[in-house]
Amino acid sequence: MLFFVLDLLTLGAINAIMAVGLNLQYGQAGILNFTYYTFIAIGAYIAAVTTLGKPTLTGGVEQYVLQWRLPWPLALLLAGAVAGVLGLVVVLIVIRRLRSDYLAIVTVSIGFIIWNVITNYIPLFNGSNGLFAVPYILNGATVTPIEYTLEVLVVSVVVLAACLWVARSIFRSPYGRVLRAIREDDVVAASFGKSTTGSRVWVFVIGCIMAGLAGAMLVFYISAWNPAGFLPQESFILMAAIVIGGPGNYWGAVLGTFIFIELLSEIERFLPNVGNGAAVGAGRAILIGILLIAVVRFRPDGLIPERWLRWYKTKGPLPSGPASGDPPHLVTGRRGPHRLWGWALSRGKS
Amino acid sequence: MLEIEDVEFAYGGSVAVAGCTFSVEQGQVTGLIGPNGAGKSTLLEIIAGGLIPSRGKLVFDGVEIQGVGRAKVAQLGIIRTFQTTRELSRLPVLENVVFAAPNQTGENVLASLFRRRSWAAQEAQLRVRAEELLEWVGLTRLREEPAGSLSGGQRRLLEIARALMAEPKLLLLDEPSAGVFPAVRQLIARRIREIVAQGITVLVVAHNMAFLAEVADDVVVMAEGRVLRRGPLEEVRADQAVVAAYLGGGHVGGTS
Repeated sequence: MLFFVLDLLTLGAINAIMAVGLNLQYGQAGILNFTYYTFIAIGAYIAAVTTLGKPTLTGGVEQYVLQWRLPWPLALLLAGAVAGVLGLVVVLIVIRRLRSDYLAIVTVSIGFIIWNVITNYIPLFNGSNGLFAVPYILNGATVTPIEYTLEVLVVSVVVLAACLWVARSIFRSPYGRVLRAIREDDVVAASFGKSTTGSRVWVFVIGCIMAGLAGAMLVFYISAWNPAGFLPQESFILMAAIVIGGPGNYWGAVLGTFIFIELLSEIERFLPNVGNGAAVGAGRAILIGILLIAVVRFRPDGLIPERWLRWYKTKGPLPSGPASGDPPHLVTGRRGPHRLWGWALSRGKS
Repeated sequence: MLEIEDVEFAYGGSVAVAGCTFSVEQGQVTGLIGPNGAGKSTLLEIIAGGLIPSRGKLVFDGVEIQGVGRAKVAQLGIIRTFQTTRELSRLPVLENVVFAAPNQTGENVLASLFRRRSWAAQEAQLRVRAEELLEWVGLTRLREEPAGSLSGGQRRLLEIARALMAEPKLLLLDEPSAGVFPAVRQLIARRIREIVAQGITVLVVAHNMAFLAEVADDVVVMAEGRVLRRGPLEEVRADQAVVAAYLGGGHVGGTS
């Protein structure tokens, strides 16, 4: 039981790193990146090939580049860096001429291209067989699985904390404000002299670096990686987690991950066993769909909306008088479709 | 201040601006009027850098600005509002205003992460300035509401506050009084006069003559992509050619 909980927490922390990075791209800057999982995979592969050393199986069964044996912190940073550089290349291809949906479609295609290259060009990362027996980090060789899980959990939480700090700094800065402005209306942002391309390029790269770090932590934990582990649809699941948690809100990304990815991946245990395992899996998929529709329908800003994050302090309390253009009978009361959640809103604002 | 010289623009085959020439004088409110389809909004979009004219020049303070793009035009000091308001709807009203300030050092990604001190003081000043502007247009009570929840008139006021936050030299107002409650329209007119008193030049597109009579020093009448007349509002309103252009008749007096 303890192992089960630790395992959930560790995977949750690693998934949360991914979600925080994707949330910077999608939630803050409004860039629909449907190939986010590719950058996670690149991080995982780089971390693997820089810590594995020479292949253990002889006769050319295992093939991969680099074959270094670096200390794991270096491999972790390298994974983030390579994912960031690849992100820079991808974003420079897509950002200039394309907007929202078109950009999203191109990211999907880029994901497929990279997936096929990795699967079919075996000398790169051992093709569809993938890499395995990635060495444990820290003193992994001598510990029990439970201790190792705890170690990875601690490292992951540290990385997650660093990513949250970055997300928070960006959110609270004028840079984050420009990103949100571009997300709302890029014509307005440009009409006030803001650089719409440059700002989005850098937030995309930062998000990809976080993806690389998360991928490295994941491969350190599960110690194997192959192309089946990063099918393009994985990106959609992360995106769904963010939509549920609250796009734009970094805590929303964390919450969405734990609810959507962690809770729902385990829910099969609690579903009634009807006939066969496939039916239970389908039941899970149905539940996920219902949850997603319910959130989008009843809570379009997610469980923790972006506006709950307060980046500014205003001078003095709000005045009580009417504002310009207020019809006399409407001077009090909040507008908007949030009557049901009024209590939660007032708690969030206090 | 702004010289528009023989500017031409066509959407595909339909010519919207056909050799338009006039100048906007420093420190004045120039009204731009004309019947629907006269090319007013297209001309404004060309000035703002959103469209590239196929012919002609735009000279602002001695710099040619045709084709340099929206961001560059804004950085030179030409700031616009939109015919259908474009507030950043999910952001709070205050953030809508603060965002517009030019030359923010914290807009650099590295500064936002590692050099907070380099922009914290500027940021505090900007917020004070934004609150002053919101007070000035009477939206202080709504400063924390998402801008998308404002009424039509309040959005117009927010756009004016936001434009002023950008410290413009030339302000382009695209129908600032359209669809607005009369009391708010008067407030907007008063605010425009105050803006000019601060030395900011204004070019305003409008259809409401009472509103224009209140704000404009000088009026340019456009019809069919060209400048038809220029002069004080009372004078051009009495002009037979202007009346004919508005009524759409080919001859003086109209057909109605």
